[in-house]
Amino acid sequence: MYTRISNSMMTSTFIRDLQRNLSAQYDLQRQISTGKKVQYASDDPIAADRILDYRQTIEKTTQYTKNINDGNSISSHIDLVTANIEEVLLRARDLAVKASNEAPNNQQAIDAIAAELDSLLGELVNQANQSFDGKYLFSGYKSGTIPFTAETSLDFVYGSGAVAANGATALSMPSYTIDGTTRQSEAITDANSVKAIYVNGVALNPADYTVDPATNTINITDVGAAGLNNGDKIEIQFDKVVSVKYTGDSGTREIEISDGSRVGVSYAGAVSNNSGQSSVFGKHSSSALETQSVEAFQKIMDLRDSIYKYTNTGSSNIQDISRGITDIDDIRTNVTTVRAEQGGRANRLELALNRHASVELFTKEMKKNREEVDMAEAISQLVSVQTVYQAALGAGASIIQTTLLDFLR
Amino acid sequence: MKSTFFGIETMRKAILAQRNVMDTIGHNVANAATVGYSRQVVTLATSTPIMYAGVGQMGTGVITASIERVRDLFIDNQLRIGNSQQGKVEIEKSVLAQIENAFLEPSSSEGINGALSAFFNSWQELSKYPDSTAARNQVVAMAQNLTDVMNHIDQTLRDIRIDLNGQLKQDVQQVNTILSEIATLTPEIAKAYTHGYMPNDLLDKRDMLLEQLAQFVNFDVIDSEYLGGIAISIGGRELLRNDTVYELTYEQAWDHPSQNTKTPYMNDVSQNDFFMLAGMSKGELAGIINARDNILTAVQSSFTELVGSIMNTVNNLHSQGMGITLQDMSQFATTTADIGNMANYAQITGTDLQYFAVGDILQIEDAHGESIIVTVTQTEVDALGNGRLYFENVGMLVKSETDGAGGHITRSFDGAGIDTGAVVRKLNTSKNNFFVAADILSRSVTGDTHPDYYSKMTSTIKLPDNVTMNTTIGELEKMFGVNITDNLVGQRLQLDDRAYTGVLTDNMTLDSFFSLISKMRPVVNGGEPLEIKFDSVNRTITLSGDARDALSQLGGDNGSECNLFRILGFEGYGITGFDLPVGSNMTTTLESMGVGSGYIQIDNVVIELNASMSLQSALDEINSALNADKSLKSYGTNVFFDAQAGRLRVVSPHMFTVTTPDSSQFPALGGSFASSNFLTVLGLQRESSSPTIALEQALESVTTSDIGARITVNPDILKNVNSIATSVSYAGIPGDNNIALAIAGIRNMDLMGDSSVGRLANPTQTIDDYYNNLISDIGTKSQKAIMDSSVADNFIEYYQNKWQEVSGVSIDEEMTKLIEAQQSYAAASRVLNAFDEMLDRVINGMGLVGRA
Repeated sequence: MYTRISNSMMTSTFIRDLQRNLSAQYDLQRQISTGKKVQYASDDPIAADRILDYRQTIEKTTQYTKNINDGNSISSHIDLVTANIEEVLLRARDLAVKASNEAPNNQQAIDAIAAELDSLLGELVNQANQSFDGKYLFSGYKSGTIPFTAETSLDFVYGSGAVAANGATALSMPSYTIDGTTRQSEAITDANSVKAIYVNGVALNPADYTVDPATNTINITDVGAAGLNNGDKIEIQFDKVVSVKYTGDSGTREIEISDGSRVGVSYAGAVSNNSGQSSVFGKHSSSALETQSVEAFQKIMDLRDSIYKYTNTGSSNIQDISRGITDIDDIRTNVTTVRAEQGGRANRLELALNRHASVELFTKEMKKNREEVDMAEAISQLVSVQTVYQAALGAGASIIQTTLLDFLR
Repeated sequence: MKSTFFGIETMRKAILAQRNVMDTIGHNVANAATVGYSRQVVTLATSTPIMYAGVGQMGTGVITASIERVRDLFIDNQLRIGNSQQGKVEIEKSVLAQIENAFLEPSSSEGINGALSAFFNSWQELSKYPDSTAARNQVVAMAQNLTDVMNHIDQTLRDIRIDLNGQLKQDVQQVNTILSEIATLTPEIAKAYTHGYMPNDLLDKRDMLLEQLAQFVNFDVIDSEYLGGIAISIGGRELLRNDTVYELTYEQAWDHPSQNTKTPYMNDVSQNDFFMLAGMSKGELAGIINARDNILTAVQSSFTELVGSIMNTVNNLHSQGMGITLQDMSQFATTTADIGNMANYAQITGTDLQYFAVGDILQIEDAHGESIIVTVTQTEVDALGNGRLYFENVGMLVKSETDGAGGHITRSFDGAGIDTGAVVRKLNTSKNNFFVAADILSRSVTGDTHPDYYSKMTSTIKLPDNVTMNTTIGELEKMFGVNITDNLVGQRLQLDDRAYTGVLTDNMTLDSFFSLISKMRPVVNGGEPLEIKFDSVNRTITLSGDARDALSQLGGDNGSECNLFRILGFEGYGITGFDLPVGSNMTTTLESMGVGSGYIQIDNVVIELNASMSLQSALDEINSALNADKSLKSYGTNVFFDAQAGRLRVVSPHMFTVTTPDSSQFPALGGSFASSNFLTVLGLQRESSSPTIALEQALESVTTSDIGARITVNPDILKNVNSIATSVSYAGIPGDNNIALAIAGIRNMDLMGDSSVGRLANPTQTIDDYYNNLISDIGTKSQKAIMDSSVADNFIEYYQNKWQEVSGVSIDEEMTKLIEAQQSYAAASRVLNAFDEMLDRVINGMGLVGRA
């Protein structure tokens, strides 16, 4: 309480009070026009910290949601393709059973079955090479490389001892190991199976060799003027697909679906012999000879060739076809495992998506509470501040104007 | 006996006194709105009565006793305190508001927070589409956006510092102006007092100046009212005594505007300014110093930590990965050894081996043009001195294809193995940094010596008069009496991991030597390449590069030292070395080295040396004097001399100056004293003919062109977005996205520690947490400053009103008093009139006895 009031005291106090009121109006006006009550961190440091945190959460969640949506697209595509593969395999199994029930001498029917198996093989390769968004599904990290290539030739290195110039030799088909047992290529299904033979890139004269389906050998009567030495490269061209190679790798591309949590979105089409990793089409060879195909395809080719031979030579055992049926069941088990894993992935994606959706909703609400202005409150505050301002102006104007002078004559 | 005119005289005094009252009221009314004007009141008193014998004393009327200001010293003092407090918090408030404005959080989406989210999200996108050029371009765009934002903030913070330094200068000038105005008032006030007058208006003026001064700095004032003298001091140091001003001054320690302007000190007080600085706790000056050295420095340092951590972590992960394209770097011929079919190594000349490292990707092309791509698993020099590059066993690759003419060819990687004629190409797989620092970050202002920051180091030497660029190394050896080439193994020089294989001979001139090492140009840890410039006009050689690596590791290979660098004075960070004169050691007396008794000065420390001292005791003397000095310590300087292997070393994290002391500056040491030539003899003195050194942390000049260029995306990545690393290994290209995932995951890593314990010592926070804390911390400080400021405002308001209550002019009051005085004046006139009439009766009516 002041006991003596001077004139400049009144004016300066009046001006200061007006300034305070204006500054309150400015703050409210700023809040209303931006819709935010925390413009600078100093407006409410704790809220600022929270708002930043909410914004970070929302931005991360939005990105994870995008990742999951992309993952879902790939995932459903993989699901579709593996379903197709299962169907193809089921049809192959039906054919094998049918073949085993045919009489060996019903050559036409059996040839038709083998031919259909051959086209199923083509379809299987086609499905295995499916891509999504420009990236192959089953090539591991090598997303830009066609994972499976079907070839009609067998390449291998000769290793059965030197043969003199223009000498003769019997060439055995290369062998390979599947499920612990050694098998030999059955690709020579009849006398016309072999289309051409190259030794170190030089073609042999068709008159200089004969083909024996029964023993799986090629009898060469004249190996050419250069002779045949260990380490020479031999290439045999067939009338059908005899090799399906894998050029992808064993990687699994992953996407992040929440902080630090990742889900795979690709599969390895095949893995090397002793990796112990699962893959869609089993193991493949990493040997130097490069003739060995991916297991699943080799099994189907073997089945096809066994059926051909069942009729053509009469010597082939019905057991080969039975083994083929078991083989297909093995492949199917493999594919089913992958589908189950795929189902698991899809499940995780779905759950994460739901979680993010609710987190996002919740966080946005929290952010809104912290950051946004309650318009009704702000506007009514503004109105009350304005009223005070007008009253102050009125009172000030009349008080400042009046002095004793007004009443002295 | 009363005089006849006694009554008239009484009334005359009354009329005069009332006029004085009315005049003073007029003065008050006239100055009702004058700032700093305190109302004056006229004190009336009865004049000395006369003795009336037998009756007693008879009053003689009124006199004007004094005209005085109405003032309360307590309120004046409180107002000064309030002004000082307000001056300080206003500065802090405005600096914090500027800092908040620089970060624009949390309301803007264009701040660091938004940019970081966009940056990390772009890596997430890239992790899904590692082979997509669009995703790669997006990463680059978002990274550039991030660096733009960071650089902008960095620049804004620097600008605030520059502004503060500018304001400091202005304030110091203001303080001096006010002081000199006060000083000119003193004689006038004193004169008035001497003549017995009360210089009310002059005192008002002085009080107002003191109040203004209080806004800039808090001070103690001794005001000896009735002599007019005044003394103003801060922390016991006088700024003004009566009419003498001891001006405040500032010292600019660095040419660069963003460097600290040193705190003000008094230029004619020879001791250091410690006490004055300690006493300077309020006012704008204290506010500026606090805002600059504590508030701003803390923010800059935290911000630098943040930027540095993001940059280093991204770089660290990125440099472990590979992009999706290979670039041909350089090719090498293989040597003659036949390696055989199952090749698993390529043989090259031993000297070429230095260009390869484990993990390099090689393309080996045989004589037929067939090629394989392998990864180096091991490097080795064989017994014959050939280099071997081992890689995984690739076997023999067979490839069959149809030729154009319908024929068929089978080709393989040369069956004879990798022999002469095969070519080994090293392919660049972009194992590079993602961000590069284009300039030092705010390091220099924090004095932080954290090794993770890149800083450019520039070292300039001036060639001795007798050395030119054509001087050969052999001549240098003779001149300095040291071996340069002899202890270099294989005559080879090494700059970090690059070795120069040529021969460093005695016949080589400095010119060809420097052109040779400037070609080595290694880029170390994302730093700048070593650069050597020769300025033929000033005859200086400037060596610049990464402070941590380039300069410190310039030496002979196998760790041998190259004396050339030593004698030219190039050495590592903050360390300069000088060879002792030939034939001297630590026990040699100064005298026998040609050094006379006298003084040397290092920064502001003066040290006396006696010619009879040994070199060792001279150095002990210098070190203890430097260690005892408070100001060197408070600036974080740690200068010491050390003797090692016949050399002197000077270690300092900062630039310091070594001079011969100016005798006029140190009157305490006696009028004339000898300067020791210690420095000249040992070659430590600047601008002497012996090699001298100016060690400077970079930041030589900031021009508009490099604003916003503190940290940038590696230009190599800008040129080719495919070199952004996504894959861990060559084999994983292009689908392996682990690097991209890892970089995107930085956001969830605990990367930052509490800055008080050291950033990497104990990381507990993600960069988001750290940043949020930083913002919230700035907000809290700013909020507090705003509150402090309103408290100070209220305080001032209260005491201003108090002041007004006591000293302000009230028109109503003055008018009332005016009426009072006016009436008194009129009454006195009337009484005077009565006397007049009375005398008239006596003078003119006497003797007529009633006759008209």
